[in-house]
Amino acid sequence: MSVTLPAPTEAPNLALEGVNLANAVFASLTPHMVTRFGEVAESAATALDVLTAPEILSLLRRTQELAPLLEQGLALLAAMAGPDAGDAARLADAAQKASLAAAAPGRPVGLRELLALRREPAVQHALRFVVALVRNLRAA
Amino acid sequence: MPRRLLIVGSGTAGLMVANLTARALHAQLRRHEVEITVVGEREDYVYQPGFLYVAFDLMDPQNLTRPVRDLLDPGVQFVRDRAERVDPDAHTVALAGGQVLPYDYLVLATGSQIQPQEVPGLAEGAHWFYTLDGAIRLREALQEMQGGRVVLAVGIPHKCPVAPVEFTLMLDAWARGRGVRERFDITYTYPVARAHTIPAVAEFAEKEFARRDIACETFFNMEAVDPAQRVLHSQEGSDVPYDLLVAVPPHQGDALGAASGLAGAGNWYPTDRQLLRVAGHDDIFAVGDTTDIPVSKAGSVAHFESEVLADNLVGLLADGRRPGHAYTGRAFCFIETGLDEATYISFDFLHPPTVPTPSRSIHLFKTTYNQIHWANLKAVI
Repeated sequence: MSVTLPAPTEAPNLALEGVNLANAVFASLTPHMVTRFGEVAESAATALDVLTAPEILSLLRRTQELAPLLEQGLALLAAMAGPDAGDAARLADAAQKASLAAAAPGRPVGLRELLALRREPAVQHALRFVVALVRNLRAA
Repeated sequence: MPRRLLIVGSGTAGLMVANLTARALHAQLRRHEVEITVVGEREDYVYQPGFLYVAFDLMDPQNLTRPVRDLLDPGVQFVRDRAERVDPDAHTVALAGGQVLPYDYLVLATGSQIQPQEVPGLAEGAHWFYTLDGAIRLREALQEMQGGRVVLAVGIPHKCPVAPVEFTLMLDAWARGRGVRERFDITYTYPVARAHTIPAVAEFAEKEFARRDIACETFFNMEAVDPAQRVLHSQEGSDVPYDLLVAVPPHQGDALGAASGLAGAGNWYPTDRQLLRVAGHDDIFAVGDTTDIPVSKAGSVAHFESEVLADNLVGLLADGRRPGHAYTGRAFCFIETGLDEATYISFDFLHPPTVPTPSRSIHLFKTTYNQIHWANLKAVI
């Protein structure tokens, strides 16, 4: 008995394949998967809103301008931490010392500008957006 | 005192229940109002649907396993040990290592295991794709084979209900692809009076078998295998010679059930088919293969059940809410019909399946899912 199958005579019907696939996908989805896809889509939309906000673009430009000052600040902290610059606890301690030093007379010039940044409206606005972004992404 | 959820079993159902519950109760976990613990024997989780693909060298065995700890929500504790006995009165589970774990709610997700020793000669004479080692052995046997008589035999119950049909059709396609189909004689045997317990699958399979010159012998229950003579004997009196015997061994539930006095025949837990409670116990649930619910033992069933159970557990753990979510018997199983086409069945307690025309897109859907199922396990999607 021949075991040769007849060759297909038609090209695949893409529309039918699409319908087949869609039916299979819908049949396989669980209620939680549907909910999760919705949550992820919502978070992605929120993230896109935030990332394209004018304030974020403004922050990016400002960050670029302030890059040399930020670098000076980090270098100062690293120098205070000594050889163990990678140690987070020492760095935090160094940051605290730098903060105290900034309040005292004769403080380093770069650090004053760095600390003043916190009060910039654009920075505060951007920080609020970042917090919202993190919150939404965590939910995703 | 935190409310304690203890899950025995770190397979598909155990992981999903743990992760879905943990995701919903993150705040309570952080405040130590709830504790979730998973007990599992193995360090690694293994993706069992991949075994069929390993047998045909379509998946790398290394891609089927991941450490259980990597798949668990960080808020869930993992205890690697074997559960030996449940004490429902004391609400504890004794582990092989000596620990005794208390629980407020217990989930039994201990799966099912093959029992080849139930058929004399089967372990010596047959190959199977129901363990990773077995699938690798079968792959090697197929690669050495240039032709001959391949017989598939099925013991019931077994997990992955359509896998025997899948293997047979994939074998046919595999042999055709190598240009040696004429040298193979393929026989599919099945224990009941048709090619499958699900009527729609039986009808589909019987047509495909006829079309592809695959012999089909029904009412064939394995009795014994003669590995020396290479003959498979059935209870019905058939003697089928083989060059390669591929068996789906009969399955049983984990021994924990019998040791605890909770399980019935076959070590399956008598389980309420809607709320997934073990009979007679308001605080003990069973999920996945290990239940006696009249539904296929399949990964998708474990998945659908796990979501229902997790929803109910969240209510119980959060504020003692009575379970109100019910499992509907929903299942979804892909059916590979070759090496590049597949179909599927989707059904529940009330709606039997039909079998759509196989297509390449369904096969691609299945192979994509093989790669991303980890996201389901982790309850990410």
